Amino acid sequence: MSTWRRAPLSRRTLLRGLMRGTAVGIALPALEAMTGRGVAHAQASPDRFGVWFWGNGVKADRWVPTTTGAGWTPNEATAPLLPVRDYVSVVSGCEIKTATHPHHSGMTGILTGQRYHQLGTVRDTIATTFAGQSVDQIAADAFEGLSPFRSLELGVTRFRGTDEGSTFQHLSHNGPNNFNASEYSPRRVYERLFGVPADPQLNLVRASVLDAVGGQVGQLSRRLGHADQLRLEQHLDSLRTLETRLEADIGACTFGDPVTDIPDVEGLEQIAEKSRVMSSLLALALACDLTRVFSVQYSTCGSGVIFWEAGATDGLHSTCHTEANPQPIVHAATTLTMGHLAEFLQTLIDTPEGDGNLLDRCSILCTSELTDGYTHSNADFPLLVAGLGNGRLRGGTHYRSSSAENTSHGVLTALRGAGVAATGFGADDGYVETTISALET
Amino acid sequence: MYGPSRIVCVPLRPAVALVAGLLVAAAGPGCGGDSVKTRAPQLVDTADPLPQTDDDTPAPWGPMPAAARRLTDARYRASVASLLDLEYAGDLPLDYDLHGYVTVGAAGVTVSPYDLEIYEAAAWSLAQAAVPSADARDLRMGCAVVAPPADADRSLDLGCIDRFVTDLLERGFRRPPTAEEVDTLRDLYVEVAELASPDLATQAVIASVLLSPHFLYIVEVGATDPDVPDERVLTEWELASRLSYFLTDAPPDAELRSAIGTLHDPEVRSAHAARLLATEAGRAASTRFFVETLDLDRLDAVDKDAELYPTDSPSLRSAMVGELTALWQQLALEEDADLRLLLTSEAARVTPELAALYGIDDVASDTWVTLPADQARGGLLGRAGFSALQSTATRTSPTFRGKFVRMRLLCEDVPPPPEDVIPSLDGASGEGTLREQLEQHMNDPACLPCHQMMDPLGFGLEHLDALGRWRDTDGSAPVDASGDLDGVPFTDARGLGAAVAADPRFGSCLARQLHRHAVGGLEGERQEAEVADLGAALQAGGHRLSTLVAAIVASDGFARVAAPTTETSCESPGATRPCAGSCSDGVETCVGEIWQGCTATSAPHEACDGVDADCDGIADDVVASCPDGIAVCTDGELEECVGLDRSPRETCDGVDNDGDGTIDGDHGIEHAMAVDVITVPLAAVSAAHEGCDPLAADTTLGACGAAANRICAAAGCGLSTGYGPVAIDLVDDRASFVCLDAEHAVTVSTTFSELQSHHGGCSVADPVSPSCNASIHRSCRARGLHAGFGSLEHGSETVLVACTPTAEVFQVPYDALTTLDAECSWPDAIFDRACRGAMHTWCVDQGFATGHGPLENWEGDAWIACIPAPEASP
Repeated sequence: MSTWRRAPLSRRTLLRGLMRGTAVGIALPALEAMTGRGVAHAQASPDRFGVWFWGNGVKADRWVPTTTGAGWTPNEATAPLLPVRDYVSVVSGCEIKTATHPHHSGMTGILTGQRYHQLGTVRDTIATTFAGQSVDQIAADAFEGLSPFRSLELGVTRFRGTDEGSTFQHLSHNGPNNFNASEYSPRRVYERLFGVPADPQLNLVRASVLDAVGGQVGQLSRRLGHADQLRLEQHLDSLRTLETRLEADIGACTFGDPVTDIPDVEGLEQIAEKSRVMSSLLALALACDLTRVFSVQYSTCGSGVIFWEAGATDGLHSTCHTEANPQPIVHAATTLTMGHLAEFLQTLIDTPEGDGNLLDRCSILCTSELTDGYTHSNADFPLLVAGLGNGRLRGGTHYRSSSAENTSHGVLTALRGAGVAATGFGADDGYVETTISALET
Repeated sequence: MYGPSRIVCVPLRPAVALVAGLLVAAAGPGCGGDSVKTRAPQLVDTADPLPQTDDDTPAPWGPMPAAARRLTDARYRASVASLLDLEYAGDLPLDYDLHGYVTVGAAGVTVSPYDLEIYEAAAWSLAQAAVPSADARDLRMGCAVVAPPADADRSLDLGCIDRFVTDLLERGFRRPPTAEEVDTLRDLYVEVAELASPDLATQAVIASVLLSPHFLYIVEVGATDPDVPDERVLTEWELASRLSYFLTDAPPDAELRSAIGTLHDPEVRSAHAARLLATEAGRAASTRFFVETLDLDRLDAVDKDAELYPTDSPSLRSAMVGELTALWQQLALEEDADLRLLLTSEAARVTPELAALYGIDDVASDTWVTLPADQARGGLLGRAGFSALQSTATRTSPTFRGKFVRMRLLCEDVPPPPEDVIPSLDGASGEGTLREQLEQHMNDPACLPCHQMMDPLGFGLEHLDALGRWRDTDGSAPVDASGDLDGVPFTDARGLGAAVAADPRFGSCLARQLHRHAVGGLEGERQEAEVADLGAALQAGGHRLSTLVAAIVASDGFARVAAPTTETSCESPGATRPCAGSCSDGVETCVGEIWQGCTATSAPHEACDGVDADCDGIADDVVASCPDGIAVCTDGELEECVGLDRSPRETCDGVDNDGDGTIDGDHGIEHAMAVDVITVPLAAVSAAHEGCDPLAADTTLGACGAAANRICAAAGCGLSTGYGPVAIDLVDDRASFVCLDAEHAVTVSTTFSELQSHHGGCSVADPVSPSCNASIHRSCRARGLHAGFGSLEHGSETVLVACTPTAEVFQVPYDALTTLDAECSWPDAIFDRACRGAMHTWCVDQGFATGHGPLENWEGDAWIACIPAPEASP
């Protein structure tokens, strides 16, 4: 009898590769080899960019440092930052140039340098989303492929949704309605980053499934309208991101015992503990080079978090509106927030890397969505640039603008401080091409 | 059953009644004050493609733009439960609450990298739960994919894989899968099975479906309407999903799926809507709409000061939500009552804890009570849940409360504070009651225009504190709860509720909100008239939910979407680029800086509706199978079932049905198996179809196909069709045919048009031919039925073929067949009796019961379908 064979079946590329190599001894290529992006792991001091955000602004007259230049003298609310001052530069006296609505345009103005994108015309008060990508995602584009996670988005104080669009809920955006939701659960952050040991064989099957699904997304997209096509482009990008990660060797990073969520105690949110745990998780993720880009949404834009430790009984946003001047509770809440920021920065300083520490490598934009929750003003905007950016940033300097310059200068300074070669930042009135040189080396 | 009464042809042009009087009076009292109205122009969402018109002419009706809506949390879980019969309790991406409803946000939200990670983890955890063991795998697949004993060369039952994959895809995608989709997953299965194990392969296929965009989004592409190029008609499958997700937050149930083909009829949709609303899932889904409308899903996270409100507790919060949802379920669902009663009824479902808050002491368990008359709470606005939600942690907020009523219950806009105003109640100057402070505040002309829209409504609830408890005083001063709704005065919560209930804007607004929820988007100018009609229908129907739901699902806007808009601008005149429709691709050309004239056509599913949906140039080219034959579509209606010309049929009932003197068999056949070779006298062959000459070498003509079909169908005992002759016995003048039962040969009614779409050479002129074999093979594959043969019977357009779902397909050189029968040889003699016999024999030699082909021919190789012997039944 003549030979015969089974009718031909198409093979998925990845699995073909696997079958050639057989299931035994699958050599997982290092990520940079897969992506052809060079020497990431060999780089002793990789650049990182981050955003650390809190809602409802500050009491500027008690927050802005009392001296300018190097070795700034803290004000009451910036006093907690004194131990890390050498790593923190302050930008004051600038304003959002694209402001029309306090919270919404402040949020998009600082993080995108643009106006917000209004959703629908039915409600005037007001549903919006970001018109473009937020600054952290500009950095994520620049660092794409250098680490397994394109970016990490974390949240600290309890998320309270609204239906006023994504501006009010999320920090990190890829585009309109296209947000990277912050994760508020330490348990889930732990499980995502450190929880599941890699199974090389399963990972290749998983990648093969993603490959098949990706083909469907592409085909479906061609049958849809432009708006949906943009959404599916993001979907496809997300598939590629995960596929790339599955092919990477994430390495042996451990975090000791599993992390659990932190419950309220007698109805009181344990803000300090939450902040500490998230800071530790993030520091380890950076030390393991799981990501080069992060954002911490300590509290949301217009947040209603109750700072009971500062004597508050009502949500911060409401307190900002109702507390009698000079608003001692709002001020105490701001001071508490700066203390938690200082603890986070200290955690990075305490994590050694190469001949220095993590904060030496980082450039972190620390800011809010408005100047003052009482006035809802966007003038004299609170803005810090933390970290030394691998030697690009001076640290410990207070630059005070005397001419209400554009806040985008400060954002671009932080971005370039991380080594991101951005020619400019923002759009229209928010657009700038120059940094604040006083902060740079 | 298949008579005209079942299928109704409906007019496809929307009948748009633009009656000015029906347009909702949307303006309301306005906010006054030009300084408030004048705002910097903003980038506005481009959801509504219609340009704004300068005059007051109402925009012509048009459907909403299509949007792929991501499954909400609830819908994902229900879809998984339906697909896998598993409850998923793990994490899912956050829903996106937009304009009040996560179902609206679902049309705008994307799948971010983190979302995808979460979906992927969910998919694999579900796949692993679905296939915990090899036994579970066989149960899940419905067949044994590895036939024991495992043979290394053909250990996988491809037919089993195809059936499993096809079924999973059809239910997961909520529509029949394409052949390519089946192929992709089958290939994935085979490769993972060979690499690792059939268990992991089964899991991979399940994970693939759960991660597919066709599962994760409710996809509504629709079919081109030749008369209205900028509109698309939703396909029957899309309509089924739209209906069931709207009304049950779940995929179509079996009853709805069985109605596919009839859902373009608005009355059929309304009937199904009523049925779905009454199901448990319908009750839960409509309650979710109510909860979202009132924002009740936020109540458990609202902070209350523990010292001021010591009786507050998580259980009290859930009792507050439960009270309001019980009111909805009782009035809207159980009684199908006037929905305005929600605002006026004083019946309350309470727990003992909530009863105590209302000052009712003698309640020991959950029960219905009437609220104390002296508190004058009225309907939902006076309930603790509403007051607690629309307050801060320490005090009431007449502004929040009034704003909510204005915006969410009356659908009016309240502009944000003007830019130069600090929207604060400066506590330093606060003297007297909150009301007095607010009134002082309203003396400011910058604040007055908007606050007068909100505060006078909220004042009506001032007797209810920030936890919803009754109070007589605010501080030391007595509460004044008088206010007015645009001039209609009231003095308490009951009066506020009655004023809102009596306001026609309430019904219009409810209709608008439910419409947004149903179609997943904000209405644009072109939908205003239809939304107003819905409000009018609600009013005319006594404000009952059933009326509103029926009106929404029956509306033109529910059955259509706007044709997709693409990136339209271009720079190089004359340039072309590819464009796509749902049934063919095409090109479009850059003319005048706009891409124009896409040559693609759209929509895969033909229905009996007068429309050429599958763009093959023939409208209504569908036939349906019916018990004894086929029903043909003519002028948009399926005709009566037409029986095929068969001889009376013997069945296994102990009766001589066909009067040939034998019982349970014909032609001397007394016992038949599920797959059997039936040998009959040559005379019987010609008798079955006079055109078939069994002695001719070329027995592959249509006549012999029909003869084989009839001989097998007449053989009785479950055999339904077959092929042949596969052998001729010239000694005894007998011919042998292979007959199969319905499990091994699934007869499918189709059309030559459909077959031609798979292979252009197949036509009525040569219905049994290599071309038609290829067409039938591909058509069967597209149905997930693997291989096939035919034609069995045919008319000028309709054709009956058989698919062989259990077959395994092999690529065999004709050389191998020539050794079995020298008269079968490539390339000249590949399709006569000799080859037919050789293929049968080849398969038998491989251990199969029989085989047929060639399905396809490829460079001297034949593709042959081998059919395994059925397992012996006990």
